[in-house]
Amino acid sequence: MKRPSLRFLTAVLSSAIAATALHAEDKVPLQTELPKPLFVGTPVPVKVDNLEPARSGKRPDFLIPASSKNLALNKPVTGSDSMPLLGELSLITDGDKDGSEGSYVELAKGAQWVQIDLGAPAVIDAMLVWHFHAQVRVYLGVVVQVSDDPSFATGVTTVYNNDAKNLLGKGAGKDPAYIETYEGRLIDAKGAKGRYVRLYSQGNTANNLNHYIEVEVWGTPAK
Amino acid sequence: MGHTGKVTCAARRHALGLLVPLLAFVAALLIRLPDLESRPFHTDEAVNAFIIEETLSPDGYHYRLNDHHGPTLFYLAGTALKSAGSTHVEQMDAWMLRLVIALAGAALVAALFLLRPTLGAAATLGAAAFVGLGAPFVYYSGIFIHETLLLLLLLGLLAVFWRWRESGAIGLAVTGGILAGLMLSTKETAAPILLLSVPVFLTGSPLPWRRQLVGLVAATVVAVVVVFLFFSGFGRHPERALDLLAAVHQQIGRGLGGEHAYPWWTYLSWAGAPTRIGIPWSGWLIAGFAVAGLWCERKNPFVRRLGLWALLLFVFQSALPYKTPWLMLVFLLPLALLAGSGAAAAWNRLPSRRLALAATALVVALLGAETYARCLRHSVDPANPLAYSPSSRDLDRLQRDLASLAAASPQGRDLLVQVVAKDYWPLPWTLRRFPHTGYWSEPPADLRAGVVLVGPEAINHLPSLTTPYELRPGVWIFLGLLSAPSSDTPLHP
Repeated sequence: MKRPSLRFLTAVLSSAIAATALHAEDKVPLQTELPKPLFVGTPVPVKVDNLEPARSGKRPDFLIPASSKNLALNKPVTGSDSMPLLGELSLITDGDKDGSEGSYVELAKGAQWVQIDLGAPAVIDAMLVWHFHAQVRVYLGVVVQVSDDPSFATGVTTVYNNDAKNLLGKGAGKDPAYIETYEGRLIDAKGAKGRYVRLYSQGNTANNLNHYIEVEVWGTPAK
Repeated sequence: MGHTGKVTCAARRHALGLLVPLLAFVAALLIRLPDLESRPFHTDEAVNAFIIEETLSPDGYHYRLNDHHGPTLFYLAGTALKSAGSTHVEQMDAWMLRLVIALAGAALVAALFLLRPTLGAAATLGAAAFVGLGAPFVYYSGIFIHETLLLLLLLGLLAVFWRWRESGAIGLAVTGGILAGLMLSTKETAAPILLLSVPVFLTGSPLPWRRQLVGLVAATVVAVVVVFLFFSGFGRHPERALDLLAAVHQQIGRGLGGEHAYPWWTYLSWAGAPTRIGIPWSGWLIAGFAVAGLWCERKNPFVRRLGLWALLLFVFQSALPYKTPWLMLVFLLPLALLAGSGAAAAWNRLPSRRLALAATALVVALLGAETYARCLRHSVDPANPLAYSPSSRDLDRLQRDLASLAAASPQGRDLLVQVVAKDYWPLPWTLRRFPHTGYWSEPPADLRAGVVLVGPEAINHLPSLTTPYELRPGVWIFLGLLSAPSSDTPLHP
């Protein structure tokens, strides 16, 4: 998605207004009643243990090797819930990051996982994970692991774990819980090696279900 | 000579009796003044500001059954703002509204001295320190919500009621009725507070039951009249006078569950659990000294009742699923009074004056450090339990960016701003000086050229994205520009 700077937006607005002004003599200002704000009650805070503090402004750039690419695109996905409530597991790697229905897969309640087969062992620099961003939510028990073993019984590297209470049994994680946004969650994989990427979650702050819009795995094939 | 000496001594005592509360008021106000303008405006404050505008409009105040409470705060602040020439939100600044509450908070500290004859001078000074410097009291003296005003009225009622239960003077009963009526016209929680408080302080009254009954009936009648006056807009809208009664069912339902439901121990956690911004010393010190005060002054009937009162209020508030951190103030107030007694007892029992002074300095330093951390440095940090759903400082950035857009536009601040989001508060306050601003919960069919601010759920209505702006932790808004009617423009990037 494009993110033009404020200066660019200002220029666009000024041009639009100037263009409109050329024909100002033919027109009258549009008089319309704009809807007033509706009064609301005290907002409910999003409260999750170890919730990451809010960041102001754009996410800092994350540098990866120039040869790094999204190895997960259109790769096969399997999961603990083979019959999702909504969508298909293949949506997770189809390149569509839209937040609306039809772009995400909804998995059953409780602890669930999805697994991407990168096709060959890879050195992974970073991952971007979009669970859901049409509503303010925090997904609980987010654990991301990499392995060459499709059953994840051996050679497992954990690259993200915010399951502070060890509800998934993967060890208590110290990574922060975070609020889903359209930017996706950037995970530093620190060069973890493996062919398979497995992502766990255990519901979210809005309901007990699990969702994925897209997962990108940025890296290079292992030599 | 002897007679003159007695007069001089009495005059000095009288002057001191006025000077000390005045000094306490000034000191408390000075503690409450910093950051009144710069702290981001909370959603509740923003809504309250708009209700003031409504109150000052020809249609006047009208009560809403679900939220936003009674009219006293709106009349009080509205009168002050009107006298300063500010009747519309665009003429208001945050500090103007918050100053009303800061003054009420400082008055609360001064009003503690109404209890000096009952509590004793040293205990009252101690209580003034806890209320004057304690982080929860300071924090909610800097936010434009009803709680501190309610607390001030409650303290006044306590002082009046205690004197009435001793003397039975009808004037005191009428004054108590006025204060109770004002409390009920301030916030609905006044009703259970009054129901819990009256029996506690009435039991053991030396008054014959007939005089008690007469006083209570007089106070009740006066309270009802006050409620009628305030809710009816001082008689202009008599049809609105019974709105408070109509809300009882909804308020009970709200108290028993819903959006702000938390476990029973939540107040203990908010008041006492350390977080990454530090230890809440006020919670521990007030509780600790309150227990000491209760023990040391257990023969004092007023102190015993304060203990029972604090316990009942705490149990009641904790048992109700509905909780917000400012509701803690109602049981922290009697605890602070007890803590004053505890501090006075400790002062007298410590073996040397030097040690007592050092201990006092330590308590003041701990309270002050916590207040600095919670009320200034981390005032809108989500880890601060006093900051409940705080607005973000990122709103300043949004305000600056919108000002730049307005400066670049020939229309200036008259440019069209369309807000499309399910959750957009406190934006109406942030955008109050952009007169052509509209608000939609669902995207309208005819979004027009101009500035568009959308929530995540409506993001597809932006032709392109800028970086998001945070309204509150976890609540985002996105700024975009539509250069032509949306029907002619592809909406997807």
